[in-house]
Amino acid sequence: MQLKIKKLQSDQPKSSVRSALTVATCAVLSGSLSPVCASDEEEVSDLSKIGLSTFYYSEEERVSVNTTHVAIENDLGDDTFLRANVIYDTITGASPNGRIIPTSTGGSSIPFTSASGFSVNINDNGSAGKRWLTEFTDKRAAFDLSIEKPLTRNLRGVLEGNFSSENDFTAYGAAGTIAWDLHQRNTTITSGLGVLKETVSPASGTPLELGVANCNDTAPVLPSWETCNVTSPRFGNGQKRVFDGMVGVTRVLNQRTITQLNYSLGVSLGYLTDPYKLISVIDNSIEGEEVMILYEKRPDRRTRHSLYWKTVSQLTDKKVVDFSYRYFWDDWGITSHTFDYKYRYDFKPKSYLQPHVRLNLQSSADFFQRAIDSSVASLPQYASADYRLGKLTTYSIGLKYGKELGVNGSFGVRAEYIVQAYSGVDLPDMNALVYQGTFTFKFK
Amino acid sequence: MVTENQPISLERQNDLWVGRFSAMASPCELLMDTPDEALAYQLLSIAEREAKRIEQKFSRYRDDNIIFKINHALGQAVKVDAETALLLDYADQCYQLSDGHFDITSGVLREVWRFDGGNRIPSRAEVDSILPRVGWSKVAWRSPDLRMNSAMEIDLGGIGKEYAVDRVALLIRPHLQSGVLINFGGDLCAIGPRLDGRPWEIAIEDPESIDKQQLGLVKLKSGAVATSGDARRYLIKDGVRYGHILDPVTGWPIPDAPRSVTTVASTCMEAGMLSTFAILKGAAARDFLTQEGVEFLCL
Repeated sequence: MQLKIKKLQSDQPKSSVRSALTVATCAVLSGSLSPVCASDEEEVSDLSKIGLSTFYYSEEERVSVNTTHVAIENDLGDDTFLRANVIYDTITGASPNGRIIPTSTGGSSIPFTSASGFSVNINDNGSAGKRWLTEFTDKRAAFDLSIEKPLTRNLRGVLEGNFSSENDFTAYGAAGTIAWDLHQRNTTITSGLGVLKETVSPASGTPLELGVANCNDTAPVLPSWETCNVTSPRFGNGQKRVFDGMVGVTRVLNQRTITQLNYSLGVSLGYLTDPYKLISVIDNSIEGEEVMILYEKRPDRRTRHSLYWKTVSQLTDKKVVDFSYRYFWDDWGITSHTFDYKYRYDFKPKSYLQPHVRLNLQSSADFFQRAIDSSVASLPQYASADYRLGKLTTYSIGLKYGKELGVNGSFGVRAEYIVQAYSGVDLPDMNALVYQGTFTFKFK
Repeated sequence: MVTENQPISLERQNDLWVGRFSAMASPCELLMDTPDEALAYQLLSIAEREAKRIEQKFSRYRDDNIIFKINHALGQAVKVDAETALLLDYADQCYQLSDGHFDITSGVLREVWRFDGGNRIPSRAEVDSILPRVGWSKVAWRSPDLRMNSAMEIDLGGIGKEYAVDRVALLIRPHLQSGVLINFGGDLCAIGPRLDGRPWEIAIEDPESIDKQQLGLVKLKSGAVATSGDARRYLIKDGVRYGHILDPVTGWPIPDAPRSVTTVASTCMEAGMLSTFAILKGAAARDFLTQEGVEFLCL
């Protein structure tokens, strides 16, 4: 009789059969963890889920957004799910419009009021110091509906339709995704396509791109390439089409770790300019004073790429770390890196705390500039002073507390502090706060 | 095999509350390192209820459960509940991972193989006549629908007891303040160390030796131990020992299989399946376990 107890070396890798078995076992046991399964002799029934969320975002002295979100998931049985989301936002406040911020020596002396203040009002209340902000209020309603259904044993499909509407903006789109499970569902390959049509319809039409919004009649010299024609034409609605494609792979590495890698490619075509954004023309011979305001202009095509990597690892029964990194680049010259880290700590009774940090570094678009110098020989082909296309550094730090309420409910509260710093524009750093409360409930 | 219905019992032994009941044709035991009798009784009740639930739901000896429904569907598709679907998915994966040697449809071979310690060996022809009714690959399983030939049968007996141990571990874990050792007929799971922080000590005995010679000792703070290949069930004919684990591919016992394999893993299901896989490897059992990096004891 041969007797042997072989000690497992800690650095010895698990070979293929064993690790596959570990994952398969885990699937059975974690699947059976659902509370319905534990109840005596009861057949598992399909549960539906409703989620309510209220979200408040507030930038210091700038925009604030109130969002109400209702999410419904209806389990139709046979692994088929119908999901619907309804979102309602109200947005109020002021947003930088691209004009330079006046200094004590030079600045924006040019009055300007938008042609119609239906949803947007460019502030000109006599306080020259606020001319770089556009005040506005808006309401947005968005709705989407999707169905997820198994196609074959290893193939799942999702079809989605969505619609979004604001006073001056509508969008509707459709998307389809296929997920293919391989290797005993340890690997999933996902691929999706989406199309979206957006229409921006300012009350008085879209302005001539790089057309004159207003100018300083008393300026000693105006640029050679532009006359002070403040009656430049306005056009109808701006329309764009957006196409997005995605391929991704998700892999269960072991019982505790799952990793995901996605690549997405997007193309936007059409009117990509923001009709409410302006750019100042400045005269450096008179200390950079604003002599003219133009409407911005962006290219009518943008190709976007993004690589996304995410890993979630359960360190112990109580600790889960979630790390993701996104690299984004486009043919407007923008690149961006986003690092996101969450650490979830579970404690009794059925509660958790989750600190969160996030860092985003974005470079500016090729045609982004603070202002146009009036002495240049000709008007640039494209120009925008929209800070969102400039060099940005955004830090976020947050904390979430979540708690399960019985077996069918859960709630969470989250607070986040965000700082955004700019370079190449005059804007002071922006500080924002986010508060969010969520509640989910499962029912038959 | 009918479970002797031993009533549930709880007694104090050597600083432990020891709870006992019987289910799944096995003596079931919970060793609870707590001074709290009420808690011990609560844990024992949870364990007994869950073990009985699983026995009732998945036993092939009953006529009122999902296994009976599947085995008597006369070729019609049967829609199964989510828990059964998970176990069938698991059985499917084990079938794939063992290249078809672990097969929940192999039970019909018992019609010709009777492991009662006797010497009756079926003829080649008898075995061959059963083989067309064996083979998971012949079953149309697309969760949650299962359809198979009316002459076939499935049996989750090779998974059920280990599943019950892991389920009980899951259910009692939220109530624990100190460690518990679950032992369902030799399939064990430790959840947390003893009150003083020491591991549980599990002695592995030779089931055939009269003086219960100790073959090995496993120390566990958490994790599971399972044994496959009950050494008491075999046939001897012309001096050849036929073990009771049959190869569903040939219909014959695995040649040169170890009599018994005990393994240690994080869950009882995993340990049990590793032991079963090892026995299915026959003479290559030890090489398989070594290569897979498993802590094991092989007889």
